[in-house]
Amino acid sequence: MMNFVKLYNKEFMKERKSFVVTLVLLFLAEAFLYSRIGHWPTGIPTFISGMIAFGVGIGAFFNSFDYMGDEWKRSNHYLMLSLPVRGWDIFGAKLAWLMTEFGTHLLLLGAYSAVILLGEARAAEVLTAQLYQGVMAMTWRVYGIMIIPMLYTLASMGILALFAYTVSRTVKQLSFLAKAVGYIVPLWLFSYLAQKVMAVSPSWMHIEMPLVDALALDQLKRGLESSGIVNVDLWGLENAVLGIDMASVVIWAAGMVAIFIFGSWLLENRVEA
Amino acid sequence: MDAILEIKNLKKRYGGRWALNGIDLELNRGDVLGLAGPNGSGKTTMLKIIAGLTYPTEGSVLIAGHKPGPVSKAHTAYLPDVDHIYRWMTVRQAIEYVSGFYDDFDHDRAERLIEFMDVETDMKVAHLSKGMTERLKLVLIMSRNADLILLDEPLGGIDPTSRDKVIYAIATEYRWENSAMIISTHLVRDLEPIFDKVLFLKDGRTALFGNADELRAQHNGSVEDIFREVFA
Repeated sequence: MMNFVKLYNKEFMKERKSFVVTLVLLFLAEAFLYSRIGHWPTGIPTFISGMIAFGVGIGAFFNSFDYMGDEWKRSNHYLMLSLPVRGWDIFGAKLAWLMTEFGTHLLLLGAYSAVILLGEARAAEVLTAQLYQGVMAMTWRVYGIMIIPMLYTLASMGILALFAYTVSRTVKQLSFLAKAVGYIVPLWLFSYLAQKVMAVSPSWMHIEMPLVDALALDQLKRGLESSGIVNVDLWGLENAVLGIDMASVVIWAAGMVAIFIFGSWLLENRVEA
Repeated sequence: MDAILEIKNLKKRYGGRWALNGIDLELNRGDVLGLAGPNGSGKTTMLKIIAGLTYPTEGSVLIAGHKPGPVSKAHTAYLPDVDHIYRWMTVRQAIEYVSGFYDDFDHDRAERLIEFMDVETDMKVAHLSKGMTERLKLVLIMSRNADLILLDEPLGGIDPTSRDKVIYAIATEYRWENSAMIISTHLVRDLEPIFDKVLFLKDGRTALFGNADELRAQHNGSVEDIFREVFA
């Protein structure tokens, strides 16, 4: 555990300045967008804010390969591989820092987008106080519901990228091809298995929640009715459900754990300097 | 006497070429082995296998009774022939970082070596000259009380001042009774006084191995003279 902490600290020390600079720049960009509410056409600040979050998500994907790859760029892998640490300490520290860095950015960007959306809703001056409360409740529910899948996706992406890069270092030639195979094959395999398992999993593993409850649509409905909009059908969402199949989630998570363990083993036993 | 390093029939193949082909070696505490040979003879590959950074195709390696891996790495101090310290770190940060992983790191010795080597601790590694970087690398290695010390070309590409300091540091800070050391070098003459065993590699095979003093007596010349004779 101590080795993991030391390796994580090293990742933090390396990236701390760019991490803070990015935090500040993103905050300034979002603050600027917030200041444009009422000046720009309605929806544009929220749209751009969403695009920034999307861009950071894409950036996380491309950046995720560098978390391991940077060690090889300047021969630092000689130091990394000569340390008396287990493969999973190295793998885990890099994954944890990736989650810290991009998890923080994406959570904050999600919150910024929600604040800008609510700012736009309030600025439109067509909402009653009760309707505004309804929109606000729904927005934060959506944000809250998105957190777990976002972190789950980020962790999966990080594990696959670290694994793919590690695989690429076990061969002397065609390493780019090995990297692509190391990413695509597990992605396809565990997606396929998750789908197959979902088809046969028992009903008690299908967890469903009415969308009305999940997104506080009742509150929104009351708000709309208070604004004089009666017979609200909530766009047909009253009977919709938010569903998740725990069997497929477990299969995917088990696959990622297996990839994590296998990648750590490769790093400790097969990767050469 | 318990061997610190035992190598049996060590072979390493890259593609169709054998980088090492049947090396046997045993080192005990106090041994200093000079590992010499022309470029591509297998010196670096051999040190990397012992350090656990490359894996043998055949044969076995034991360091203090352990196969190369996380446990053996705690017993081994390895100085590679590349600049492997993180360039974004300061000298002080690099020392703090590396020392954190080894229980045998002697901070007092590190301070003494830093002063002797004249390395500025506030400087970033990226800003160090080649000679300074080599000195820092040696500080990190020689500050440890490791059972086995592996130095791959410690004098490679550095100026005479740095060379003298590196040689002096190796000679004075090495724990002669407690550790074994392997020094791979082209510059046999500079390090010859330190060697008490010599292994010459040629095309991945042992061309010559023996006690340095005995070889000098047999060949009636220095180790460097023998080197020239073997690789002529």
